[in-house]
Amino acid sequence: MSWRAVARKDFLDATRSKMLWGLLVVFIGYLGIVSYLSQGGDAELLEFIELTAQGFVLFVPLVSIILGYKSIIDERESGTIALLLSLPHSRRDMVVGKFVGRTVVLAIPVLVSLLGASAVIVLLFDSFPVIDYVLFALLSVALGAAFLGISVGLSMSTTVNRRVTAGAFGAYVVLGVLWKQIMDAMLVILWRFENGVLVDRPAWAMFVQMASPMESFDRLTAALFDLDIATAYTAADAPWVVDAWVAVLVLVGWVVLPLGIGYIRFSIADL
Amino acid sequence: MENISKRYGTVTALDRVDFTVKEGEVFGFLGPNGAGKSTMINIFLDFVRPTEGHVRIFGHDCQSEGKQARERMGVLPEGYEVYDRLTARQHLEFVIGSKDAEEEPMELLGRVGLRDESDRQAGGFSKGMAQRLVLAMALVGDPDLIVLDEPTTGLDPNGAREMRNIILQEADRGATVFFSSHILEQVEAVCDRVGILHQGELATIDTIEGLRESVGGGTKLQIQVEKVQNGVLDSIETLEGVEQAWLSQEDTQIEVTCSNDAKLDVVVELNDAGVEVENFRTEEASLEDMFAEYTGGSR
Repeated sequence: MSWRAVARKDFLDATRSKMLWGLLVVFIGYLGIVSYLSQGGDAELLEFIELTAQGFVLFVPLVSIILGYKSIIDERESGTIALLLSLPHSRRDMVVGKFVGRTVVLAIPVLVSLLGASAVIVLLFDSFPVIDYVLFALLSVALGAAFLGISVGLSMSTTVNRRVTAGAFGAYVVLGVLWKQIMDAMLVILWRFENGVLVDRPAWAMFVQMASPMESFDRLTAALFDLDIATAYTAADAPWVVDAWVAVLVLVGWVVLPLGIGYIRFSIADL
Repeated sequence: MENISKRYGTVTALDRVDFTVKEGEVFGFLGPNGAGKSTMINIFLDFVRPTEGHVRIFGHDCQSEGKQARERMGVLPEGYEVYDRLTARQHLEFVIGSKDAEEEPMELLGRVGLRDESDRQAGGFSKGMAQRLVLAMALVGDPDLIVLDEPTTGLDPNGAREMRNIILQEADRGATVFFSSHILEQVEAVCDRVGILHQGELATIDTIEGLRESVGGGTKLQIQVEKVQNGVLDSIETLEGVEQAWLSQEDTQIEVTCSNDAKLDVVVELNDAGVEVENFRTEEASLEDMFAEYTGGSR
């Protein structure tokens, strides 16, 4: 259980930097604005969730990338790793501790801001779907964890700073901003420029499209609330490969796979 | 330590280094910079994997069971950096938590003279203060083995003396101390046994006294004479206890390496041969010379 000591140290380090406090301000500010914009009946409650989700799907991954991409490489470059690993911690303890510590740093502003917003909801709206709301909060943290998996995994995989930075922010742009366009372009090329394929997509193509953590996040948000996002996945005739539980697996996969691959490279490296 | 080799491509950093440190001894690991001392210590810590060979600490292989091996170790590594944003006390709390030890951070900070700095962020520490902090971290949990890689780097003479006292205190407690340095006097002052590493190879391993003896009897005589006569040097060399005699200055100065007891015999022999002794000086044979000899004078 020695990863706990690493996680505690890492979290302490973050509270000493301005990062955690800055994030708290930003998240609470954003949800403050969103609650101000939407007040009233049930329809507005959905609008509140939708605006929140739209902000989170862009912002949470970016924060996770920033929190994670220097996590390991910085300790290697500066030499603090010599102190950490001369203690009875394995390299795996170090990675798990870092990942958990940074996930907590991300989770605190997400959860605190949502908790604050829930007070506003109870005051202003007629109904408050508590369970769905809690699940949405956990889902937001899971989205962050997926990108922490990517960024921490990259941070372990090499000592070339440039590559880690490019890889981490590249992953954000490709998976978040350009994902749909890239998928569409690939399909159209595979189908020899028959645009009809975009309307009637094969099941595997829908799965690949949902394989981005952002898409999976939207898919699961739509499963919790009756929202008009991710309609392609929630349509009555959508194939099973885009069911909500598959989206859960996708998010788990984005935590486990990049961490696993990064760890394999890290574990065999001479420091 | 069994036949440890480490190669980086075609460069051999360590070549079949093989030795054992006994429990409870203070072992000095001596060698010029770049001899491979830190590579060796990094293998103990599993920062670096040997190309060949095994290192075991308390029966645990440092590579496959590194965590267990490090549980009983306290380490002051080389090339570390402290956590800028954490205070001195938080550094110690981290180590105490990592080792499941129950110790008072302030007590340890007091031992290394950092009590008044306990709540300062370590980012503002000088190299010497950082070194004291990491020494305190190495002492957490009364480790059975303390590994110190160039511990006096960045310390002033006073700090170096305090470091030496702490090493001796730990040795008295029964801890094994493994201590690397490129400075002979430090090793000489505290170590029971010394290994000299040169260009990745273990040049020698012995006690301080053993090394002294191997230098040649322990004494060097420098004798000023009026004029050396033919054959005198040869007759000195036939004396018991004399190792070597030679002229260090044309006709007027002789140097002799010999055992302590033979000193007088040399002077008597010169007198008998009719050589007038004008001045006479003895020198303890210095380990410095020997160290220079082993390491090709590349200090």
